[in-house]
Amino acid sequence: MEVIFWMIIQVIVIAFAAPFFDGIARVLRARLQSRKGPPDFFQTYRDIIKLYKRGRTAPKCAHWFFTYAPYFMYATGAAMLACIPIAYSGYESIGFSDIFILVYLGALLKFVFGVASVDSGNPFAAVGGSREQMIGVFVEPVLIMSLLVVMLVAGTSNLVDIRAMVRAGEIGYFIPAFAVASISFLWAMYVESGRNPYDLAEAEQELQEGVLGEWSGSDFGIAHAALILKQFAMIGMFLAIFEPWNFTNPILALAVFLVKAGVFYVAAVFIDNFGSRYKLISSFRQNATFALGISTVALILYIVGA
Amino acid sequence: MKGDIFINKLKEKITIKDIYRMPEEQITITVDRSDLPETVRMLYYDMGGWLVTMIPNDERPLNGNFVLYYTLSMEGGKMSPDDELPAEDKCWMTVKVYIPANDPTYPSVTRLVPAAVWYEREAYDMLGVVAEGLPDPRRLVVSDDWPDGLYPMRKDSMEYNFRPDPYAHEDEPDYKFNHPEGGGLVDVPLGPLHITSDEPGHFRLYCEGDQIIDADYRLFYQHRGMEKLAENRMNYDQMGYLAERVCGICGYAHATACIEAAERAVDMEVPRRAQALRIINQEIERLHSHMLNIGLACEVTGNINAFMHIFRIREFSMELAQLISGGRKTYGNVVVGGMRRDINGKGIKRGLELLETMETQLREVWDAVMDDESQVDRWKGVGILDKQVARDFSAVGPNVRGSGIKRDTRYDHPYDFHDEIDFEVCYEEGGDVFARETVRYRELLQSISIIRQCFELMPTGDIVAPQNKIIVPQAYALANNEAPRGENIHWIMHGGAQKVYRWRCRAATYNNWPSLRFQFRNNTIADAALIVCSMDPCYSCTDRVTVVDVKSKKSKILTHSDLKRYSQTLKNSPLRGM
Repeated sequence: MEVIFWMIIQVIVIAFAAPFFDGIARVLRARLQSRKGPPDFFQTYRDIIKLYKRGRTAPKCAHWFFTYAPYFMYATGAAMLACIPIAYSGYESIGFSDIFILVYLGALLKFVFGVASVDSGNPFAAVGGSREQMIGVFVEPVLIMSLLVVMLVAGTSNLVDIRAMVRAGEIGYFIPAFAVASISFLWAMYVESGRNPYDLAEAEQELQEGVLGEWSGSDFGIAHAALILKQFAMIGMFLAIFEPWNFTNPILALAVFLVKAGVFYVAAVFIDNFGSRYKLISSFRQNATFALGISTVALILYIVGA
Repeated sequence: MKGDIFINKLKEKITIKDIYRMPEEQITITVDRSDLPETVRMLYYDMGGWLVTMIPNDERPLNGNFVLYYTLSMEGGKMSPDDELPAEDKCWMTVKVYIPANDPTYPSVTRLVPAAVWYEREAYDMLGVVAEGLPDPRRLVVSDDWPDGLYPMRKDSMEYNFRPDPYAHEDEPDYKFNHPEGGGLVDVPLGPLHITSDEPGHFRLYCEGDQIIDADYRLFYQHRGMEKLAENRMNYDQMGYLAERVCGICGYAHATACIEAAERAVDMEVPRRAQALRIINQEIERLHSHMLNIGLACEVTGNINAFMHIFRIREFSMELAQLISGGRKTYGNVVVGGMRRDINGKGIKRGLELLETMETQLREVWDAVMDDESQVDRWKGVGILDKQVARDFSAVGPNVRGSGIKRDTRYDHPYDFHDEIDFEVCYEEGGDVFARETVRYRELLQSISIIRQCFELMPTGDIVAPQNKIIVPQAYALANNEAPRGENIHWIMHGGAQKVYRWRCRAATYNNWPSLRFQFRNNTIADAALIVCSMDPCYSCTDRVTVVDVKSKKSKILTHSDLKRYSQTLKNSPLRGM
């Protein structure tokens, strides 16, 4: 019961704290671009609140799916966060906190996002949505291969158990397969968090706001918040498996997690701020092939027993 | 005399009825209307001309005819480095034809010279003269609900009692795009209001998956009727201020071209100091326009960082504009005979400092952009404008120079103070976005150098010529200048009472729109906005494009039904057999 309690607390705290780190990232980005930028770190809260107050509009041709998709996405993002053992890592393991559940929730979010874009009837959104799925095609093999190595090494897919094993030193970076898998997973994590140069969700110039194109007002605000949640979930997944050091006290653990995830989130600005977006069929594919190569190496290392 | 070599060659095949030179390098030859297409073709393809403008004029009050002036810039075909005329032979050739008012038809030039297609369509819209055999005779400029039989540029047509009733919004006819239904093609609309351009233009991209198979576009959503306004109401003190409102960016170039056309028609000499100031202002416009475009070309690929830094540098060019013209935008400075505002030594000193800062920072930012492989990859090989297509459609500006053609009106037809200034015509092979942006970057450095030279060589004296010239009714001349997007051509025929009889303004992008369709093909939708951006569009110009096959040099215009059928079935390409 306590596990459930801390799980809920963890989701609520992260959901409320995440926009703050987005705010920091925005201020930093503005400084790097020689702009003044938002006045403080709370701009993302103000944006979401402002958007939430606004009315909803939907294209005539859109169905119920389009209308409910932002909420569904937000719920999925929250469920992903709930999967990750942060505050409840000191308790007995539960079946929900599982790598497969986490990966499939991520895929579900992507699917809902894509289908809702197609449902909007906006051809730009549909193209953006289909490209979003294409990204999945490139990233998921890398993600699964890296995680497969971890699961084979640990002998379980339960995140709480894996985390406990890494912290106890039973498995870890001294196993070459694990170390190499962490590299390819880091790439997959970055791509999945939808940042430049890999992002398309907000490719406004090329695809006219891409997949987010037809949402407005509160729907847009929620979809926006859901994407931030997803980014935190992806970072959390990396931290839970590959960098699990933390307190067992739930509140302290949560605080430390926020700081660690926040550092990752804000530091990503140094990557996403520079350069232009990759094109899916050229640069993106090359990068994905390279990452897939790394994850394959990890798998081979495991098989040869190194 | 200038132009004699062309006239002598033409005389072998064509009867020239009349030759008129005013000023000396602008030669007007009058031919019979049945000889028109062949005359223009010979000048264009055989003697290295480029179609710069066509002026349809209603001269019924003067001689009972409609008159068309096809103006070509004789500078050589420029398809290879030696394919260029020597500087002393370069001139403007205008082919003039009379079209009787009771039979307003003439044979279409477009069949032989594709570059004429919009001019002839616009001539029908505006004057009701019909190009016989024009492959695509649909309307171009006037709105979809424009009444039949009303031609705005006729002198007698726009009395207020002829003004058409406005349509109710729901009754407005739709523009017919080629909607592909099925066939696996997706119809992606871009515009009329598009996020990368704050101006209206409606593009339809026909895509198979991500790839653009073809494109269709409708422009002229905001035709303002300036030419009509000028000839009815404006005098020469007001003309310059109207002309600069043509564009928000190259407004100064328009104002200068318009005023210089008026000056040239009466052979008025402008003081050297004013000439130098005019050049400085035009180059300032080029500075901020090119920086805007390079910045946007980064931004549409997601590189906001580079965009922001280029905009930071652009502020210096705005400050420079403030020094020279008193405003961040160089509006309100040109008057007939000179300039309204002078600059003092202190201003020049500050200006030189600004140029120094701008040059250093520009080099830094450009080097950083070039070091970014992902950015360069996004530009390379995208939106290729074939050299022959550029030649066939008389493209201008960085668009044509990016395709390896050394065409710059400052170099071909030097005007104002340019005879004392050294500069290099920047052109790059490749024809892709990368080549165009590189041309722009190199031109930025050239502009800085030109402004510096003007500051250093700044002549002393007045900035306005004494107003002692009398406007001669029916005298006409054209004026050219190189705006940021390419050459602007203004043509003015004087009327009585200090007013304009006919003002024809041809903005740079008018000649660039046609080639856009070729630039779209075989690119992905993600690059569509980048391609539009890289031609630096000025939304005042197009509709339907003539298709030219580079190898066989045949041209063909796709009709609505052809393209529709093809996009549905993808069988029997209408371009086959060309």
